[in-house]
Amino acid sequence: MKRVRRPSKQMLTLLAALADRGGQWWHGYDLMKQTGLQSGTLYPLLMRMTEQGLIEAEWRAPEQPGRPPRHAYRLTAAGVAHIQAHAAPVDGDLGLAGA
Amino acid sequence: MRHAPARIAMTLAMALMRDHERDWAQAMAIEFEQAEREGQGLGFALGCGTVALRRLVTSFAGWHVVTRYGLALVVLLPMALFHLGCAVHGLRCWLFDSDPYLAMLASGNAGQRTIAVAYRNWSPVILAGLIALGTLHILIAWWITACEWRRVGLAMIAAILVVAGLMLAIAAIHPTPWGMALQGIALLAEILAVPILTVWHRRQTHSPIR
Repeated sequence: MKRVRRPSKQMLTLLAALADRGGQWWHGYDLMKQTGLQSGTLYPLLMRMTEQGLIEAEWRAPEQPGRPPRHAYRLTAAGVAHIQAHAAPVDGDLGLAGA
Repeated sequence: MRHAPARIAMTLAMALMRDHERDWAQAMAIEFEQAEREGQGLGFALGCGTVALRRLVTSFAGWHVVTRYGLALVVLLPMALFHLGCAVHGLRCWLFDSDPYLAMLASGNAGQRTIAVAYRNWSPVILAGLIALGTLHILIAWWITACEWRRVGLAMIAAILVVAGLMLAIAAIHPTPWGMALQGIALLAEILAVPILTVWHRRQTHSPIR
């Protein structure tokens, strides 16, 4: 039987930050500033959560012309369900990306 | 110039990311530019370096990279340097120093004279063999890191042929079976160990568990 791991504090912080903006897209550096996580913590979490289907990642067109596309992330319905299942403090109206 | 350490750290981090993580590496590189504009580039780059290193050493595919580079840098390149060093030393003696075999030739001992003549005759063959072997080891090391297994295989066959030639030359010049056996065993062990390690790496490259 596969053991279900309780999400770490950092993962919950990240999920909460993603949920905070509803279904909108976030960039990696903005997420770092928002959550206070370092890149060495943030990116492994993003990679794992993308593999688990909790968030989706996509290359998005740049806001300013002449800049390269940026990788952006947002919560999926599974991610929202994950928050609801594991994190009581995170509540409110959660954006359901892909729902 | 102030940004150089951050850029170097980021380049190293990107180099450590494996092929199937290129998308993530690219994402980090673009965010790094954003962090750099806000003066946070070094911290960001060091974090990315940590991610890349951790993912490298905690995955089988990562270990495959580590051992492949280890085989190339720790085993093959020192071997290449040893062979080339021996060849350079031999060439120097042969070309510039006084004939190292003169004393042996001048001695009244018939056995010594026979050995000296044999060494003189076989020296060019041995030197050419050592240079070829050293060069082949460098090429094998290079192609192993690039996973170019077909080229590695061809170079390995060439190296085995060179070793066979060297062993024949060694057999011709060594007066005692022990001396010949010692050098022969060293060459044989080397030329067997390297293909075994290489074949293992090639199999792991195609393994479904990667």
